[in-house]
Amino acid sequence: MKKIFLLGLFVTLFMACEQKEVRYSTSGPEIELVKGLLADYEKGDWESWKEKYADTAKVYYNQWDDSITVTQSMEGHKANIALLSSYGFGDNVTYEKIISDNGNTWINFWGKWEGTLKENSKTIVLPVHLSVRVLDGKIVQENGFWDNSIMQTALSEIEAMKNMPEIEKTIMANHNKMVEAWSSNDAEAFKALSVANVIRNSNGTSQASNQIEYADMMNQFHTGFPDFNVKMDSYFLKDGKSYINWTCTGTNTGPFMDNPPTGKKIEIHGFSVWAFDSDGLAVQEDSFFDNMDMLSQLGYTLTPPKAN
Amino acid sequence: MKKILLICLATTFLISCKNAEPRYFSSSPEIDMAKAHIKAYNEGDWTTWMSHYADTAKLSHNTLDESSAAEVLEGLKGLLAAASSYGFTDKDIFYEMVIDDKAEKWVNFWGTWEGTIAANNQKLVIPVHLTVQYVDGKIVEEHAYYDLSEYMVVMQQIESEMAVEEEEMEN
Repeated sequence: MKKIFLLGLFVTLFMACEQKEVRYSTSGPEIELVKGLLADYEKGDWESWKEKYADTAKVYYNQWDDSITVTQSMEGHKANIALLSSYGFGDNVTYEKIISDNGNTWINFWGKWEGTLKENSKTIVLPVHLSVRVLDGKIVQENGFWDNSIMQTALSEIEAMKNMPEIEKTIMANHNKMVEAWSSNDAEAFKALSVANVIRNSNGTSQASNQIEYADMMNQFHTGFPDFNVKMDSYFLKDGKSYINWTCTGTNTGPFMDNPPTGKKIEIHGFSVWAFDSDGLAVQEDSFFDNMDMLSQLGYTLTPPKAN
Repeated sequence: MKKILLICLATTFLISCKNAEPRYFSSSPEIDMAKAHIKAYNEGDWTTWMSHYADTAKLSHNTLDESSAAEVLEGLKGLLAAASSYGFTDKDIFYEMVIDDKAEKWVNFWGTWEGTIAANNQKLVIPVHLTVQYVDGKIVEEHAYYDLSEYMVVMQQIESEMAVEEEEMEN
């Protein structure tokens, strides 16, 4: 009697367990399959990649209604990859396996895709979500979600560059070199990018009227701030003039404008308008920034005038 | 001896039962909250929409950078300003909740956003995926994935049409 009772208890327990089927897990053969799929994609091993799909698999990228075939998906991937010098998913990826209410097995994936464009070496970062249904060891459906506009924008930038008149291309290239010359205090490089009597006005006041004076001014910043660095935040070019928002940073460890070093760091935001000649050489810079802000960051204070 | 063996067996069963604690849900209080959150978005009820987030919530829409709910709201309002109507449809909408290995509760949402751009009456259909972590009934983390390329193409078309019109008016 006791035995029968115990047996009954076991059967009940076992059934209760059975009912609690595992519907969420982070490991298993289906997850390994999708991991393999991504590894194949990264290696460009398309034969192995394709074998992971069922022949009738449907692929939906950023849409629900019109699926593409695995071959079409592969062609799309190949076309995108042809534009890239490197691509892939990093290690920061999440996988889960779930069993839906209708008993289907889905692998959900979240990851960071990174690719570098061959044309301009620009790196694109895209968060990607994939939801993949696996049946009998093969992928039967794949839904992908990511913002394709990020890549589209980068590609239109490349197109715009290609269609740019030669002179604008030269100005743009010279601009990048100019920022480098500023950051590395390279007077010779600056000379190669400007006319001999290049002008610089700062907040409306003349600061330099030839290459030597301009180079001296750059040197003053680098003496005061040996780690002085210039970054172009945004750039706009029209009718031979460029309009730039820039950020300068540095640590005041040397004498600056006859003042002893303060040891303080600065971060200054400013705006410059550059004019170029028909060869793309810099003729004039009109620079605008808040001098008071720089001095405050260095610890200087403003003393109000004495009342009369 | 036999008894001990039986007790051991029973204990093993019980433990394995405990381990099989459900971790996948197609309904839960958090899923109901997510549904109410989507409803508030559809209705443009931004006060209710904001109330679903913890003050320190971190949101990442199509980026790895983190923003506050208020910052994302400004972005969404900017996108929606061009639309004469918008919302998530009842078609292709799916909610689930999982409890992950770190015992965190995540609601996953897949849906279809539909909107009409006011300037040219063009209809846009954009699939959206959200994965959202809830703690004590509030969203603490949200990641969103949706393709804005069609939206951008339409906005660029409108912009270039406007530029042509302006040029014609000037001439």
